[in-house]
Amino acid sequence: MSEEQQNASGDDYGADKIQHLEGIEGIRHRPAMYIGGTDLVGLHHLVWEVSDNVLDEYSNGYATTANVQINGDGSITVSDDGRGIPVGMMKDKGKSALEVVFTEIHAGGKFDRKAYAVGTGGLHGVGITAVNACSEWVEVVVKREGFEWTMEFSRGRVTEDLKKGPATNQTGTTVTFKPDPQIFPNTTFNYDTIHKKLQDSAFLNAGVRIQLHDERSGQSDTFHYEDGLAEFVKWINRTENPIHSDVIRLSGAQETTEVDVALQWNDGYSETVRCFANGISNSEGGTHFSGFKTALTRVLNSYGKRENLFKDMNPSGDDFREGLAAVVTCRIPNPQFESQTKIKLTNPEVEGAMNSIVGEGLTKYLEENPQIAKMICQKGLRAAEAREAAKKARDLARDKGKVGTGGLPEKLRDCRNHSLDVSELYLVEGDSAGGSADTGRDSGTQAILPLRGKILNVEKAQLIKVLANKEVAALFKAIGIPPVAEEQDVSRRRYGKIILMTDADVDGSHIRTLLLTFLFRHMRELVKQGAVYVAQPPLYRVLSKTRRNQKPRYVQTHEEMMSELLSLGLQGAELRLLPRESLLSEQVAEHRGAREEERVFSTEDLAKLATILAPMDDPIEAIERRGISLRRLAMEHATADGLLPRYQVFLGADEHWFGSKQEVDAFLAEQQEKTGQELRIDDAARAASTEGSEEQDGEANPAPVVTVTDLHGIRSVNDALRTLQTEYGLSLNDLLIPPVKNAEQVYPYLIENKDAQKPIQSLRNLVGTLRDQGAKGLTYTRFKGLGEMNPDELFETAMDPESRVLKKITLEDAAAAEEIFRVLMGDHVEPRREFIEKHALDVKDLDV
Amino acid sequence: MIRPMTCPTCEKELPVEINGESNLFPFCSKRCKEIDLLRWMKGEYALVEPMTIDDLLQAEQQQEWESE
Repeated sequence: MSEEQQNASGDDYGADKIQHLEGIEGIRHRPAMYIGGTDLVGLHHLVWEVSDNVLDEYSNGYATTANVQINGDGSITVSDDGRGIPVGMMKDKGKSALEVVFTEIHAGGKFDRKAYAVGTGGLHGVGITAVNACSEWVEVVVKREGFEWTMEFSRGRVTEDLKKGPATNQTGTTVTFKPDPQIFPNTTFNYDTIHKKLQDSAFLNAGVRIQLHDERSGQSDTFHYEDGLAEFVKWINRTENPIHSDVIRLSGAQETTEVDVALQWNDGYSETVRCFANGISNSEGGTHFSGFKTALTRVLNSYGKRENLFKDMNPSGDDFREGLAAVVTCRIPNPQFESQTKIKLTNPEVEGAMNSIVGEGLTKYLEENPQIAKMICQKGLRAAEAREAAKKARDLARDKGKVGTGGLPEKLRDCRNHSLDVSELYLVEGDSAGGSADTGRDSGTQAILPLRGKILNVEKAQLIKVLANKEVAALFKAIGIPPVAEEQDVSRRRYGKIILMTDADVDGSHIRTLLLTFLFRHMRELVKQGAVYVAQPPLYRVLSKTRRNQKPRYVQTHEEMMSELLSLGLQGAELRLLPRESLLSEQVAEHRGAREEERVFSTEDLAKLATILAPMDDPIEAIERRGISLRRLAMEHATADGLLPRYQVFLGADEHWFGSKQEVDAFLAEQQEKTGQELRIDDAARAASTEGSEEQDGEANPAPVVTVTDLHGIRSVNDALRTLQTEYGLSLNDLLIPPVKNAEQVYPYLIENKDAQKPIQSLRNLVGTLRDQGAKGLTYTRFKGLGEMNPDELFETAMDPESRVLKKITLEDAAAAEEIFRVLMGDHVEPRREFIEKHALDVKDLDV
Repeated sequence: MIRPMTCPTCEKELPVEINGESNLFPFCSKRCKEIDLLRWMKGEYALVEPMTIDDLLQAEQQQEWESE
């Protein structure tokens, strides 16, 4: 100590006293320098200053709980169960440590943050002195060393000296202060502001318990998070749908920088990354955030490229951060910030540390969790797609805007009249059909846009049905409605009707489904206004063999053609049924169907009989495609009432058949009792293993698993059989081919008309034979595609307003097409294949 | 009316304000609508099937025509 100071210390107006007054007065004089301002942000900094002291105590293992209470008089109380601020006398100062802490700037001792191994940011470095200086009054209660101690201040000056109170065995500090209205224009604490900050603190200090109570309103909250950052991220995602359930945690240390990061993606689009350096929120990020971003982009990009997840896209860093919720934290000895308010961290060493720790950790995480890695990369890909899509849509719309008629698609054959009453645009599948349509059309009102719906990839032996890229743009341009418009102004479309014309086969219906889906999704207003139609070109051309110079007739559908052939075949025909023996077993007592007497069906009865037999073909064929022969099923398993059994049950390798579910259940119950074991029912496995196998019985079924297959198709077969039994005196036996007799086939049925007699083996052949008979006088051609029609024919059947058949597409039709499309396009390859196989057998279902 | 209740692009359920009257329907957002449009424009929506013999013959025929 110098002589001067020695002298001064003896004086009441000693130097250190003056200095201390300058300290307090200095803060009061220029509070913004110490607490950032006198606005609400500055006001609340007073609270953080006190609460951060508690968190320091917590981080060092001395406190577990903080209580923050906003009092009715506008003061605030912060208490903890830490060690309590020291109350002993500081010899060199001649006053208590408590007083020094509250009245001196950069007060030393235990409350100098440098004494802590880890600390909160030490918000403003001036400690609690600033709180004291800016408060109308402060009351401190310390529990320590077996007693309760109190002291009071006003505007930084001691008003009540340190007093020793009653004995206590607890420890802790309680500080109550009322902000000084001479300094703060507004001294009202905001509950939500304090709530948010304290909750953040609780997340960043896993395990601490912070209780907040507002006496003014009665509101209170408790924050306690054992999982810290992970819970922080979950909390950020609380209103979102995370795409993976784990929160990814990455942490480590490099030299003096400690890094701790938690992240999780949700299925939304916004990015929420909270950054903290030493517990201080950095709303504008800084070096920790940029290190984190660089690592994230680098690691995800290289993973996605290596795993081939990006196709031809290049997701950017922003793309990868769509839907990202993350908390990025670091602890460093000397945090540097760009501004007084500390919203941006500037320490350069943090960037590299963050980059390498996050990079390494994330790489490892992706390797260990390929499923999640894939989802994250796909999310980035989708974001990149969205960016590109928005750009393309703008380009296309702009393109559309600037072109006049000259900008129409090259392949469009336009019409002259564009009045909405009469003009029509035909979307025609295939170039050759487009050619015919072009030649045959009425070029005044009908425009043609050929679309190449089918593309054959000969090398890969693949048939690709697609609306090709140029064609999508061509559609918008030809129709004249820009994509992604806010409102689709359909009154400005270039044609009154938009007519889809595709082949009447499965491929054609697929292409129609594609087109309708596209229209439904992107030009729905057109559909809604009833401007979209489907042309229904005929499937058959029919000519009579006997007449000359006739005009051909056209038949629209396969069903119509079949029924026409049948009615022709029925003309003047009778059916003679010869006696035959029954092939059915003795069990089928009543309905064995042996015939002793010859019978004859008149034309009228034969027609009725044909309408019952015709619908039996499909379900019977479906059963036979499963490898089950009708003959064997009838001969070995027919039920007592002469019908087919519907349930096939395998018990291990043993096959059983039952007519009803009840019988199946009874059988299973009986088996269960017999073996005393729980039976393992497995329907799906059986169905899968029988698919494509020719023979069912005797196949090895190693595990004694029960499989039950319900052959639904048999229901309609049985319905028809019942009608045959009750109304026609026929039976299942009549559907079976009789055995060979004397080395010759037996034909117990004769179809007779005035010209001929046609013998058949079973009634299953009746309808087909009648149709063949009916076809005798005709020449009929089935068009394989529109391209097979000549231009006149195409015009007459599909384009001439006088004779064509058009179907107006409703929103319901288009929505149904979209549903089918979703199944066909689904991500799940297996169900899709099943769907296609199922519907390939039954084309009708794909027709719209 | 059978109407899809999920957005074709993100497969999220459609928010209630998006109904048949909305210009965005059946998409949940302009963004998802644009992504879908991009996929159409890139020809990503394609049904790919193994070729049948008929297809193959047709392809050969087409090649002959094109070479003529």
